Amino acid sequence: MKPVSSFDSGAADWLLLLLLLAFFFFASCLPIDNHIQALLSIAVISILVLVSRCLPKKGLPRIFFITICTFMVLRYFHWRLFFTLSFDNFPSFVCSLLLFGAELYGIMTFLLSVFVNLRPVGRAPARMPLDSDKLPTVDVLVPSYDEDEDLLAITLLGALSIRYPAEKLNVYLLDDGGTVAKRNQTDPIKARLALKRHLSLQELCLRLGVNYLTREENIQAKAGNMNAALPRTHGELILILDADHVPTVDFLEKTVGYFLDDERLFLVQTPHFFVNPDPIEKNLGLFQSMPSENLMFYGAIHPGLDFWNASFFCGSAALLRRAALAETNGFSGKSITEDAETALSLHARGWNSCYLRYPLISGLQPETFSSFMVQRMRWAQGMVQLFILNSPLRLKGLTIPQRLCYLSNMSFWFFPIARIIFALTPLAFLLFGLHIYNATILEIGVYAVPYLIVLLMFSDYLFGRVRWNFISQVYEVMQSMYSFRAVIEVMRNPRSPSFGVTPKSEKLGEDFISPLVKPFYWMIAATTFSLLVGVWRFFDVPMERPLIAVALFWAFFNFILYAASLGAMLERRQRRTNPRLPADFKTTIQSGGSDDFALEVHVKDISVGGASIISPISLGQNVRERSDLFIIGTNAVLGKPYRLGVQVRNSWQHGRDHIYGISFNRENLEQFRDIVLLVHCDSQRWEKVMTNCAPDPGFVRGMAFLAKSGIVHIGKYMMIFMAGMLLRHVPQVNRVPKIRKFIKSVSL
Amino acid sequence: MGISKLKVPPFFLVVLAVLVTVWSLPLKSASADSQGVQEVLPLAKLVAIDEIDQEDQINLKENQINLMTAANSFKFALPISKRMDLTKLILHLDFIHSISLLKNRSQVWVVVNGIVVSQIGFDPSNPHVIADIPIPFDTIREGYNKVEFKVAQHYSEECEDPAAPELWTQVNTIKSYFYLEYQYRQSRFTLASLDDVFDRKLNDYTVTVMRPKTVERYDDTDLLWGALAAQGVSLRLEYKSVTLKMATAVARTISGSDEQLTTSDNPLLALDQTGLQNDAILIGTRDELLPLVHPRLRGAMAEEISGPFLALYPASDPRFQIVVISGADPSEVGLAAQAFAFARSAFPDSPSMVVKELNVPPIDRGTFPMILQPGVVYPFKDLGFRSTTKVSHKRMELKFIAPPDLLTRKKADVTIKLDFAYGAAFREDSVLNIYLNGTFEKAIYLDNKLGARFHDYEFYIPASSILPGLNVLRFESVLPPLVTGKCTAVQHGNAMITIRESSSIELPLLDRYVKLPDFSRFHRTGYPFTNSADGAEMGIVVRGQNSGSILAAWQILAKLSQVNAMPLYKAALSFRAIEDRHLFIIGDRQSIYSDDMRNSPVQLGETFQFDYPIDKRSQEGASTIFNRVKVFFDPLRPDRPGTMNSVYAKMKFTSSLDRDTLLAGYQSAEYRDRLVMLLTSEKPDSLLAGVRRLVEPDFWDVMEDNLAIWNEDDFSLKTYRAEAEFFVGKTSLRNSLGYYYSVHRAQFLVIMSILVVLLAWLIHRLLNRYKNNRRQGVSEIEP
Repeated sequence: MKPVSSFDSGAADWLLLLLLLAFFFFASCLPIDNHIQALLSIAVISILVLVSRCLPKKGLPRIFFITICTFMVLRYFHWRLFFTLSFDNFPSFVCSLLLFGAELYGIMTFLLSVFVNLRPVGRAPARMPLDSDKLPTVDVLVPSYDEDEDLLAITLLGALSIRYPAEKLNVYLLDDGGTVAKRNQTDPIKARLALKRHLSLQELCLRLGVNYLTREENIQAKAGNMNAALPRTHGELILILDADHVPTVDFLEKTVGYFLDDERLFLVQTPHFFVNPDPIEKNLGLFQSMPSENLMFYGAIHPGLDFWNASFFCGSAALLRRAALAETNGFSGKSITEDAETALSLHARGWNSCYLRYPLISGLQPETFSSFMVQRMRWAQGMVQLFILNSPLRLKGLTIPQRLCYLSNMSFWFFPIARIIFALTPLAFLLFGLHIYNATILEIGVYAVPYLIVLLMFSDYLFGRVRWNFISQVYEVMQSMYSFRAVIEVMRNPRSPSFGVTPKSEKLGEDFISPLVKPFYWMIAATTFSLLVGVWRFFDVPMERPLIAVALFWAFFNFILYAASLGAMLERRQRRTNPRLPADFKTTIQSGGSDDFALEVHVKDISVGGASIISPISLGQNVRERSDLFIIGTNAVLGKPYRLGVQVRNSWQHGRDHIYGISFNRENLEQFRDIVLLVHCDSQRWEKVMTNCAPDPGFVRGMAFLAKSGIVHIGKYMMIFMAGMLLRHVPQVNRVPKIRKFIKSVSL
Repeated sequence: MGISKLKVPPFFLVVLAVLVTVWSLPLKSASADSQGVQEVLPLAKLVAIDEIDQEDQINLKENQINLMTAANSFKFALPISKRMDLTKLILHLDFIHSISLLKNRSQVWVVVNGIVVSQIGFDPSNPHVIADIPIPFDTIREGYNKVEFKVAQHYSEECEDPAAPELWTQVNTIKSYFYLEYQYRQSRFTLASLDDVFDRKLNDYTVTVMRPKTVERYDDTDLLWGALAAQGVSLRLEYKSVTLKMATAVARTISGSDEQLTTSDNPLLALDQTGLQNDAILIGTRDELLPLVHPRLRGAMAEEISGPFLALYPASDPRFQIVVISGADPSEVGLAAQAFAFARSAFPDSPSMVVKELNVPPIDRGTFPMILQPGVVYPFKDLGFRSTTKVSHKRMELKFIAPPDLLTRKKADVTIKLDFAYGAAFREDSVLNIYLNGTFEKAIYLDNKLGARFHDYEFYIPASSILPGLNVLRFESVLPPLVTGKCTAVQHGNAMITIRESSSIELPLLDRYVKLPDFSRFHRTGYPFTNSADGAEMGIVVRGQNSGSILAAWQILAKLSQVNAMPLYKAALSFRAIEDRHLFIIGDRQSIYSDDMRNSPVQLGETFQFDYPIDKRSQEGASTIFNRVKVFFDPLRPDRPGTMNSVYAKMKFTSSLDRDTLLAGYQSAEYRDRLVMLLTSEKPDSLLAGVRRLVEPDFWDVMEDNLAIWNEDDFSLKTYRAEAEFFVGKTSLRNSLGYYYSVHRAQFLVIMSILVVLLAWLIHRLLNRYKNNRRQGVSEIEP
């Protein structure tokens, strides 16, 4: 693969493109009558419906669809720019500029998104050479900071099980929780804990056959940890795995070949597939019924980036070339998103990257909203930091498509600012009568409404299978409340943010309300008040009724989002450290006692801790008391037999099926390895789970779902508060003080 | 110069239109002989005076003045020219009053210039009153005399409702009139009093343009001189029409009696003035005019005409005056004519003068007359508005002139910042209503019972409400008294409102781009002929060397100069072709060249090709989906449902225009951004008669579309729209295309579709090429 510096195309095509783009832009700003704009809108929406329903979503129809959407968005933009900005009074003017700025930002991200998503591509897994001598050596680096030993053991066992010539594969645990500095810190308790961790992990590594590495000081967080390991390791390729990212056995089989095909390839990135729900999915009860939040990025956007040779390192589940890293002296650590920064530097040096849209690891998401926000704020701050300190617009060596792709990735994280403005705008109109949007109801009908419809259709067309639009709104609203200040702080002082480690494997013993809920109380109170004032104004100021109605709808929509967010903040208990995952294979349950039996059962779900099995017949009355049960079978992926001791924990009947919850007995390391492999080795299973989600329910059902969810959760909150009043006890969380401290430092 | 002098407000124009109709009614004819003039002046001609607070009292359609409530009055002005020597003045009053009025407490009295000249008690048994009221001359003065009808009306000796519906008196403004007998004053007029000579207080003013050669020998210079003279007169008459005549100035034999009459103030006795029944303007070079001067005075006159020369001499008939425009050579005559057209109040108090120099500064259309420029903030004070306090239900007006060629389609607002204050203790439903050109635009709720003052109270009016030319922004306060009812003294004194001259108005930034021909825009502003305020973009081609065509050209120019409020002294007039100007082509049908009618919607050759409107009918509803779709894509289709459209008979025939006059506008065949207006009739006489009728307000002010046909005896002007439109002005390509595609929807959609498909195809092609060159091994997916 050659380095990409520009399009290769005939001069005539280029000239024609420039000419057509000029006409396109010009045509989009023609000030036509409202009636013809209405006509245009109807025609466009009709065509979009036809194209999306009747034609494949790729090739020329896709470009056609996107071009039409872009035309309508540009028409809206020009109308806003030329006809809706006016100086009414100073506060109104300032607010109208803010709103216009937020919309301008939205339009800019839309255009960048258009570019990125013009042609998403997929690629077949790379072929491994038959001659193993040609295979490069691979180091698997597992950076760790404060993760549990059990969690690390699973990841390390997974890494050790990767199919690759053993002499060419080395696994390293990079322990930053047991550094010399940590072991010698002034707090004796913390120092003792660090030493204990250090010794314990050393012993674990020794048992597993993994190399244990640590360093003197914790400089530059994760990037520094990995950089410290680079001189002490020698593999030509480096596989980076987060501590909770368990690889499938075929990770290298499917990725190493790319490096052999392209000597300028520095990165093969694979999706981050999560086996547990994020807190919003979990609390709204949507896990596995809707696509995971990150599927839009890994399922749709990253394939688009890959087309432009702009797939970038996402911190884990990626294979990198040591030679490339040598050019940048390892992983870059100027920002707290070392992954994207490193990829940016290497792209600028002419290295290539590729993306394999196939899940080859399984990881864990944060369990609580607080942890979730720690992670998201780190991403937001890091990308904004990168945008300011290492802007793709200024960096030499990048191709124009790469600049646009990085700009798209980075600019996205400014969304909290726009979100906050969108949240406050209807309030400013309804409460203070500020004239922020100088338009008549007719103009709103022919410009703004079609614009919103086109945006929804665009989103549904591009991301309908990987993201539910309205749930996406909830995610953004929830993040914006906290990320807003974090982003502003980075803008003020780009070098200030520090790396916040995402907590892993938290266990929640009981339901509780997230401590981050307060801003939503305020927003719900303010929005409710504005709705009441709006209704009053609707009847009191007949002249402004149409605009008030629009503002009321807008405020009501925000209200629904806030209400749904409340639901997502009602943290549900999570007792399992190892989340169960859907499974679909047969195994045999066998008794080792006097009443020997062997019965083929169906495994419905499975985790490292246990599984649910379905038996056509009962296993007996006292099955829960038996300790001589095993499941036996052959790991279909590895072709290797297993025999695992199990204990029945619970049972129930569903129709004619008998369902049993079993836990695995970890008798030795080998058995533990078998369990891990049984649970985590099969990439095909991840692929199936990842893509097997219902498509976006659409506008009406999406709104209905949100409204229902919002109403239900507001009801729940009221009940909780009433109970709290009665019991003189308002639910409080007292978990993870470290997280709360961090959140407090950056949140509202 | 006040705005009111520049153009006539729309309301005023409507009133005048009615009045002219009234004028033509054969009530009583004015007659003149050598002894004097008898004239009947119906009140309907006088009540059009700009008294905006009285609008509710005038019923223009039915020609009535309504005097309601217990105490009421109506004011108007009676113009008396300085040239009139009144011998009789009688007010003939015809009115009906309510039969519910108390005889001993109800009356009408007439006040002239503040002096009561008559009072008439009301008799319920005889409600129809006809009275002749002699007006004492000592109450009358030269100029405008304030006449006021005042009524006291009561239906009860006890307390009563002052607004009771039975309190009314109705004055018929047609049957009520002033009867005047007067003689022309034989005053000695000087150049300083030219405004008194060409006095708008005179009715039906006529002036004869005289040249010492026959019309057959006229050349372009004669046309230009006559045009300047005509404009000089019409500008002095402001909004009143002038009837132009022309005559050949010939010398006559001097008799002995003439010798005695001849003085240095009356040197033109050698000019044959037989048949001259009005004032005249004599134009010619010194050598041409000297034969018309008494031989004894020729030497002195020759010396006096040492440069551009202007003089005012009495005619043989001392009732009339002759203006002399002369010079040593034609250029000096031209300069003198320009001076006559321009300097309306700067002449010396002497019968003659020599113009040494006339420097007319470059006149930018944007700055003269006071045309509001888009994007500039104008305080009301600069537009002639003075801080005004009104009590109760009163009106205030701001008049301003908008550019004639604003493209007001796009969303834009006129910004008005009002400084005003209002009083206290009135009802809570009080408002200040704001109208633009008679259309309600905005209300300001005066909701503070304690009164309030506002500075920069900002509001907006859609720019689409702005008319080209004169606009009237009216503020009408409605401040009902708090305490009303029978036997209750109603307090009006507190309901006051003041609008300050520091208020401001700002037109939005709009393009100067309009569709032509547009007779409506033309009659309001003269556009595009007045696009250059000095007439540099205007030309008049006179076809036919005859007096009818020439006078028609002068009449048109005289009218346009009134619309323009300054002489169009750079307008080109010629018997031949004129290049690169907006053109009037004027002549009888036989004289019009076929080339003149290229692009014209009407062809007048040996055969006529003309779509005669024979009826109007509403289009039936579209019966098929196809028809509906057609109309949807082309909303301006003439056959769209529900539209009242003329039904035309397409005819090609051999005939004549007879007494009809035709005015057709169309795009110039040679210069695509130039307008041609063809003005023709079958004969020169009928052409002149038609043009004289056209410049009357009742015809001029209702012109619209781009084709007009009328007859001098018609009561109304027939106008039609022909498919001969084009656009002129300065605008961005973006706006002009936006304008175009707003009208041509189907084209817009087709072009946009082609553009999008082409762009999508090209991007697809380039992406494929990029993939093949740079990203082999990948295949497109559907995420």
